[in-house]
Amino acid sequence: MLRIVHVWRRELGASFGSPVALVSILVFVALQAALLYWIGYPVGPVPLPALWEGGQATLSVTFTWQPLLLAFLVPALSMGAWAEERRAGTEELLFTYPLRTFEVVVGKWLSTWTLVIAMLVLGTLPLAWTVGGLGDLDWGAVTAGLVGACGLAAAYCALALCCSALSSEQLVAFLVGALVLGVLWALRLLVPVLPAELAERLNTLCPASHVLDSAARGVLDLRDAVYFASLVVVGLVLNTVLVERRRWA
Amino acid sequence: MARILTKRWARWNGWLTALLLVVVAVQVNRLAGRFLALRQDISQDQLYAISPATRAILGRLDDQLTLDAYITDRVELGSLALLQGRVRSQLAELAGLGGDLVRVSEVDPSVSSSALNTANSFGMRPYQYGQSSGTRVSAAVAYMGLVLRYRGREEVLPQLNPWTLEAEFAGAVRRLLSDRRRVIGWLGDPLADDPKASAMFGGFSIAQARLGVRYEVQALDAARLAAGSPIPDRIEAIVVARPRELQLRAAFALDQFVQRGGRLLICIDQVLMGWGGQSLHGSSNREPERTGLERLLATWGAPVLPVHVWDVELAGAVQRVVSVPGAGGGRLVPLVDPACPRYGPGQGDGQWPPTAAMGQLQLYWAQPIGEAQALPAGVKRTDVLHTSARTWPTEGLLDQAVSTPDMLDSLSMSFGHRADRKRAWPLAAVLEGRFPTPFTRGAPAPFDATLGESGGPVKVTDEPVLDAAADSAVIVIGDSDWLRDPAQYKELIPGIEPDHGRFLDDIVDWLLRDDELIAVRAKKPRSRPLHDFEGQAYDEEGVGGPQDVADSRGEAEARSALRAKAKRTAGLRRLRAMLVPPGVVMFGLVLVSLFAAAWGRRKS
Repeated sequence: MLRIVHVWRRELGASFGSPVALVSILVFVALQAALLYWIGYPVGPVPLPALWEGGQATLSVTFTWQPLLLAFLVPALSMGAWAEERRAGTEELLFTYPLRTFEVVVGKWLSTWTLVIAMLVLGTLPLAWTVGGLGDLDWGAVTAGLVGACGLAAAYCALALCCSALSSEQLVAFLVGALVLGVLWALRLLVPVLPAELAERLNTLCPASHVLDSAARGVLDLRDAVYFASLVVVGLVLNTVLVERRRWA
Repeated sequence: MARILTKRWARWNGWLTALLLVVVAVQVNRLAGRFLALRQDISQDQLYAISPATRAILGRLDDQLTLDAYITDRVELGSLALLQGRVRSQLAELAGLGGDLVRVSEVDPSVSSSALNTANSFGMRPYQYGQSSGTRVSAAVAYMGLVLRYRGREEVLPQLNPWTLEAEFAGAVRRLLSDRRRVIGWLGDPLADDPKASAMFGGFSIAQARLGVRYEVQALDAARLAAGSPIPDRIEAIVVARPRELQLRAAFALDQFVQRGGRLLICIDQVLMGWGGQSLHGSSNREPERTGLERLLATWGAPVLPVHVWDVELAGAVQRVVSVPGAGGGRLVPLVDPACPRYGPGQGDGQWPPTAAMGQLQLYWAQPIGEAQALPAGVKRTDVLHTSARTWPTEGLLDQAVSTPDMLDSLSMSFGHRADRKRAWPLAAVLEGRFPTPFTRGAPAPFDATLGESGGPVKVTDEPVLDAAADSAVIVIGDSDWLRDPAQYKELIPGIEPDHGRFLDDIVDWLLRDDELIAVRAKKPRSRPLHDFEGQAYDEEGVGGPQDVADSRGEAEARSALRAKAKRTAGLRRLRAMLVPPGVVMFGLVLVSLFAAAWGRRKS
């Protein structure tokens, strides 16, 4: 356990020292504000108006956009986790340390997840503070939305790290990760036009559904927690297998 | 060799482990979906939590409640399948509250003709959708209804949807638990004797049918009441929709009904608005039509004034047909009509349950309720719906609907110069207590239609007259068009809207003291309006909004300049409020990063 913490702290320090993390957080904060104040959520059967257009103190636009924004920002934050190690040749050095592969994987996942949580908090709480000052904001719904976003981020980080482990190029890792998470997000758009059985299965598979149908509406559901936890476990084990495969190559 | 075998084995072992884990994860999620249905709604609105009222209703079950859900299993449309999933999940949750006393079974009407016939015999209304097979699209149906059975009685919910399921289910269970079906009286203006009016304007059949789902609705005949027929005792509340020329004896019948503890909802409309011409009822010199309840309402403390309101702030967005010269037709023009105020959630009295739970409410040519010269001692009046403070009374009743912007400006200028008459007017009042009777000289004699009105002193009988005999409640609303059916000219009055139906349900439930059902039905997002920067700036500059009325052209120009300045001020304040917090965060992040970089360089 202590070894995981060491990896976590090391990776977190390296992330905050990198300009990618800072730029990603700044882009996220600016994008969320612009989407909430001026654009709204024009996609889907029930479009949400922008804040002033709707005239209601609510962050539903913010939480509805987060699954799509995270689908691109999480791969950006995690693309260097394994790819850069391979490119720089430090991966072999890492495996000489008295660390098990799984411990390194979990440590890297924890550091990426921490970074994304910091990004979510820095991007959402100021907006909540602003909107709360302008009207009667439902803080319970905000809390549930943030918790759901953190759960989604955990699953996204696990999957994005797998994509990073597939390549030695950061750009390739980002593109593959964004493609995988983007396709998972887009499953929800196909649901209305698919046959019933397939629609139900895809809706259950889509991570965004587990946030938008519950946490984004102020509901914390244990089934969503189980879903995200299982995605994280599968992602971490897959990541370990991918790294171990190179080790045994 | 052993090393190669170990490597290969380790590689395959890893992939097999991952594959097995995926299978296990899928199964865990399926089991969690079935057995771990634990959720907590932590929002303030509690829209997705079962309300305490529903729990209380289900807690009163003391015998088996059977739920037969008629749900088509194989649905080809994905979105409908998801809807079914939510309905099933909600039904399971509601049934779980009843414990062993609630038994749910599912019937698929599509598997056999007998099941289909049974569903149709219950009046189930299936969802319809298009189903494609190759190049052909055919119509398909999906049933989603519920039959509830309890102690030999049954209630049917013909079409379920997740947003109203809880309210409908709780209402149905409540009706099953009560011993009898409550009776509502309906005294409305049928327009049957006026073919022109009945062709143009709808009656109140939709409102009556809506109430008929939950109550027994008994139509009352104004002529029979005037002839001396009493109001049956089993009627607990009466809706009086657009009373017209009621005879004194009919008004007496309503008065004595209230004296016995009966409750009234009275919706007044002294004009049926004409389409581009004179009003259909009410004379051309703007004499208001008699309702027949003037004396009653004046005595009780809620006289309805024979004027319309001109509310420039709550003016409703309507569409009117404007004739095109020479084109032989008309076109729809959007207008904001100050005579038709529109209310949103939270704009009614927050303490009175029906207005607290109100959605959108559009009134048409509303008449204000005046102050009583002296409110009766035992009666409490609460005004639950007001116009804005920028409202003028019209000079008598309007006899024509506003149909052009020029007409709007002209009418605004004609009323607006009377600054002393600008104020907020009540449009709905709730009276509670023991009501005095205006018939202190005795009960008026029954009206003889063959003799007609004699014009002389009113004949009285010696039958006993109740006076302040029992506690009651009367609601007076200065408009009845909000209840009207859509008719030929939908552009003039679109007719009863969904929120109007719920408002009517809540009012009747309140009259019948059914606060439980109001609490269940009131589950909608609370209005959370943002700070009105523009309104604040307008107030600081001492001007009104875009509909503000000026006395002269010079003043209008000055006011326009002040309004523009106020808009700029409001815009700047809004920008500051929006950008400061994220700006502070971004600035702080940059500072921290620079500091961290400098610290790192210093350390190295």
